[in-house]
Amino acid sequence: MFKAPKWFTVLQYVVMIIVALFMFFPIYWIFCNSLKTLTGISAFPPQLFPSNPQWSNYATVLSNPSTLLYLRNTLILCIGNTIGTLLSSSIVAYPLARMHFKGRGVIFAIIIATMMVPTATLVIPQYLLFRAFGMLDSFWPLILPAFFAQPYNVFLFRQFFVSIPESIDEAAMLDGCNRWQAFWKVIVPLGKPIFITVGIMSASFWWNELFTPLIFIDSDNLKPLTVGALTSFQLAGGGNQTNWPLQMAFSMLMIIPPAILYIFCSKYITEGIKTSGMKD
Amino acid sequence: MSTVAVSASRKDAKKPKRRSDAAAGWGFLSPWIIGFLLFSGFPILFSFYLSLTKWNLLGKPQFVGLQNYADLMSGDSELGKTLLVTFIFTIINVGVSILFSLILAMLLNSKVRFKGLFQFFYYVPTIMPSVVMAGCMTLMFNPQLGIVNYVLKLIGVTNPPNWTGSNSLVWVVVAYASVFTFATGQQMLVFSAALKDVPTELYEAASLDGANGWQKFCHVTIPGIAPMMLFNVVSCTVNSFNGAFTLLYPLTGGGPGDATKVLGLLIYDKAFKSFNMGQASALAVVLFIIVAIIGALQFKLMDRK
Amino acid sequence: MNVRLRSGAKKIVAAVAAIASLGAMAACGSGTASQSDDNTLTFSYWDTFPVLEEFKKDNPDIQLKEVKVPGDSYNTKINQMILGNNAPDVMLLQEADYVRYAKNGVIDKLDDKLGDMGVKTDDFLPAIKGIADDVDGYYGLSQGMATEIMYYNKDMFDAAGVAYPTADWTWDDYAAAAQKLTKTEGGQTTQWGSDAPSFNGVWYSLAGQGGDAVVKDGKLSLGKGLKAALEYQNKMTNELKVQPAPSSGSKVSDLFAAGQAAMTLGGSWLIANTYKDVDFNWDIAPMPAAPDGQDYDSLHTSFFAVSSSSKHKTAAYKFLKWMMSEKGQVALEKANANISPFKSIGDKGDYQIQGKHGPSNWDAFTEAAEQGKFGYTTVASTPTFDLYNQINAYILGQTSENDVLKTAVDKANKDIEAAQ
Repeated sequence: MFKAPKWFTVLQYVVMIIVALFMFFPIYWIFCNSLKTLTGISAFPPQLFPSNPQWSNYATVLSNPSTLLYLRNTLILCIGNTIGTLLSSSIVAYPLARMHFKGRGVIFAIIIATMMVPTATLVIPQYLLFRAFGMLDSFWPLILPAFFAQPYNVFLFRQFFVSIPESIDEAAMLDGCNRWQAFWKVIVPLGKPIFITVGIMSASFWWNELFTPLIFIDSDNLKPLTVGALTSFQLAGGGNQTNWPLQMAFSMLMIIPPAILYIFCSKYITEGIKTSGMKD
Repeated sequence: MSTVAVSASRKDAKKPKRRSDAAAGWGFLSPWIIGFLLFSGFPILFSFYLSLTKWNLLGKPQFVGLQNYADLMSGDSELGKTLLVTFIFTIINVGVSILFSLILAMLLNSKVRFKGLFQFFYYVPTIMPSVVMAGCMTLMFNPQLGIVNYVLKLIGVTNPPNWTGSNSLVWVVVAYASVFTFATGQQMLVFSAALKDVPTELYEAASLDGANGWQKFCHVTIPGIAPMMLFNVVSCTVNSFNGAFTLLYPLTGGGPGDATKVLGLLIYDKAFKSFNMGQASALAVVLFIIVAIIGALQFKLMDRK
Repeated sequence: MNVRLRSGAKKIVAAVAAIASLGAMAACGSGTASQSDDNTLTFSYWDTFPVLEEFKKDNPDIQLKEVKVPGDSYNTKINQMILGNNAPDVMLLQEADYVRYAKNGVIDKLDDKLGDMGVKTDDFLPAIKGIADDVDGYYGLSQGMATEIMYYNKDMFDAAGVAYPTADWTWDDYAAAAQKLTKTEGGQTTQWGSDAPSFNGVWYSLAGQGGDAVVKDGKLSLGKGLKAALEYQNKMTNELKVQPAPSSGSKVSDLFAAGQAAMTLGGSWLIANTYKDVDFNWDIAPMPAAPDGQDYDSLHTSFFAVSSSSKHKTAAYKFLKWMMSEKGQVALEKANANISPFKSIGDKGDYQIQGKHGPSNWDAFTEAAEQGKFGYTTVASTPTFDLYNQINAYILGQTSENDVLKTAVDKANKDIEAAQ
C-alpha cells in the first residue's frame, strides 16, 4: 500500500485544521459576540477575545420567560412533526415497497414528483385553507400536514423497505399475519435505523424552520425559537436595530441542541443518507 | 417435495392475495392521498385558479383571465429580474454546497487520526439554524465594524467593500453563507460514504500506472462517486428552492434594493405584504412550472446513467 | 380495512366541502363576534413596549397575550392578521393604517365609550383633533406625539472646536461641521461626522425640507425635494465621506450611541431609549433646513384601537382606559419621550427624560413637535418602506437617481393606490 511521506501527513493535518477553523469560525464568532456589551459590538477593531466577558447575557436570555416559551413551541413543533411524519410516511411507504397492485407505479411517480414542489408555491392556498378552518395563529397548520405523509420521507422509507428481503414479511404472512401486522410487527422493528434517520432530519428541519411559522404564527406565546430570534431582540427606535449580544447568546443556545443530537446520532445520519442514495 | 408444496400454495394464494393487496395497498396509502389532495394537489390547482383572479383577501376573487400573466410579461414587471436572481442564487447555492461538501468529504476520507473530531467540527456548523447564521454573517460582513473588513485591512486592502450593500458583492456573502447550510453537511456525509465505497484497488492500480493525485481524482474518484453526485445535485437543487427563503430573508431580506429578491421572497412579498393574491399565485405557478421542468430534466439524466 | 377507507372517504368529503366553502368563508371578513369576555387580551405592538409591565401589575386579572413584531414588518403583519380573521383585540396602529381601518370598519368607533374611559376630547392637541375630524370620530386613542430631531455629541464638538448647532443651521452647516468632525487614520475612518439616517422617516423629512409636499391627495408627492435630499446625502456619503454608507437589512450598530459618530438625525423617542444611557455629553437641536427649501418635520403618533371582531371588548376598554389615564400617559411619556396627546398632561413635561449626559435643549423638541405635520405616515406604509430601500440602494451606488425619482416613486404610488 502507498505510504505517505512525513511532510505529506503533516500537510494533511495542517489543511484539515485550517478547514476546521474556517468552518467553526462563525460559531466561535457567535460565542465571542455573545459575551460583549452593546458598545463592545460596535468596537473597531473587533475584539477577537472579549476582554470583559459578559456571562450575564446568558442569564438575561435564560431568565426571560419568552425564551422558554419559544423553546417549548419549537419542541412541540419538532416532536409533533416528527411523530406525524414517522407514522404516516412509513405507512405510506410500505405498500410502495412491497405490495403489487395496479396504480402503484403511478402513485410512486406522483410522490417523486411532489417531492420537488417548493413550499413557496403551496403556501398561499394552504394559508387560505387554514384560514377557512379558523386555524391561523395556532400550531395546526404547521403540524397537521406531517400526519398525511411527506413525499421525501416516504421516498426514504420506501428505499429502506425495499432493501429488507421480501421473504421476511412473506414468512410472517404465512404465519397468519395480515399486511398491517406484517408491517407493524416485522418491518417497523427492522426499519429502526431509517426511523431514527428520518426522525433526526425532521427534528432538525423544524428546529431551523422559519418560513411557515412566520406566515402562520402571530402571537408571541406561539412563536418558535427561529421567529423569536428575529423578533425578540429589536431595540426600540425604529432604526431596525438588534441587541446583538443578547441575540448572539440566544443563538448560541440554539446551536447546542443540534450539536448534541449530532454527537449521539451521527451514525444514524450517515446510515440513513446512504439509504437515500441507494439505487432502486 | 417441500419446494413443490410452497410453489403450489403460492399459486393457490395468488388470486385472493392480489385482491387483498389492492385493498390493503390503498388503505396504507390513504394518509398520503388525503394529504396530497389537501396540502399539495388542491393547492396547486387552487393556485392556478387564483392566478386568474384579482383578490386582496377582502370580498371574493374577481376573475380577470390572463391579466396577471400579461402583467408579469409586461416591460416593467419584476419577473425577468427575479428569475435571473433566482437562477444565480440556485447556481451559487448548489455549486458552493456541492463543492464544499466534496472537499470536506475528501479531507475526512484521508488517513488521519481524530477523524470523529474533525467530522464534528466540519458538520456542526452546517446544522446551525440559518436565522442564527444570518445574524452572525451580518456582524461579520458589516462594512465599518465587521471582522471580514478588519482582516482585509490587516492584509493591506485600503478600501474594503460594503459587502451587503453591493448588487454583485452580496453574492459573495450568499456564497459564504451557503457553506453553512444544512445541505452542505448532508452532502458531505453522502460523499464521504460514497468515497469509502470506491474500491482501493482502483487507486492502487492508478498509482502503479504513475497517476498523480489530480489524475486519480479525475479518473477514479469522480467516476466512482458520479451516481451519488447526480443524486446530490438533484436534492441540493430541491433544497435550494425550498431553503432560499429561510436563508435570504434573515440574511439580506432581498436587498440591496431587489438584488437578491428570489422568486420565493417575491411571492411572500406579493402575497403577505401587498396581499395581491392573484399576482402572487401567478408567480407561484411560474415557479411550479420551472421546478417541474428542472425535475423532469434531472430525472431524465438520472435515468440515462 | 373497510372502516378505515370509509373514515378516509369521510375526511375527503369534509375536506372537499371545506375547500368549496373557502370562497364563501373568505367573504365574511369579521363575523359577528360573540361577547365572551374571559379577560384574556391580545395586544400588538412593534419592537418593544415596556409600559406593559406596569399595566400587568395594575391589572393582574387580565391575561395579556402579546403580538410583538419588528418595526419594519409590523404593519404588514397586522394587515395579514386582520385579513386572516385573526386581528388582535387591541392594536397599536400608525396613522395611515388607523385612518384606513377606521374607514373600513375594521376597528370600533369609540366616541360613546370615551366618557366611561375618562377621556376628555377637548383636552386633545389640535393635531389629534384634526385626524378625528378627518375620519369623523375617535376610532382609536393616541399614545403620544413624537417627531424627528437632530442629535449631537457635545464632547466631539468641543474636541474639534466646532460651535454647537443652532436653530438656523442649514444642510451646508451640517455638512461643514461633519467634515470637521470626521477623523481618519491611515485611510480608516475612526470617527464619523454624521451617522447615516437609520430611520426611514428622516428621508421624508429631508425631502420635505428640500421643498416637496411629501404627501398630497393621499399620494406621495416627491420631486425636486427628494432630488435635493438624494444629492445631499450622496455628497455626505460618497464625496465628502463624512457619513457611513447605509446598511441593507438589519443594522449592526447605532454609531452615534456607540460614540463613533458626532451627529445623527432620528426620531425623538431615541431620547428615552437608545441614547439615554450613553456615556458622553450630548444634546438635541432642530433638524437643519435645506438651503432654499422650507421647514419640514414629520410628526408621528400611533393609536390604540380595538378590533371590531374582538371577543374581549370589556378587557380591551379596560386596557385603553388604563393607557389613557394620567398614570398610563405619564408612563408612556417616560418610556418613549412622547408628548402626551392631552395638553394638560403634556404641559407638565414628564416626557422630558433626562439621561445621565443629556439632553438639555428641550425647546428644540417642543418646537419641532409644534411645527411638525403628519406626512408620509398618512399613506400606506409598505410602499414607503420599499421606497426607503430604493433610496438606500441609490446611496450605495446600486441604482440611479432617475430610477429612484421616477420608477421607484411611481411604483410606490401605484402600491399606495392598490393598498387603499
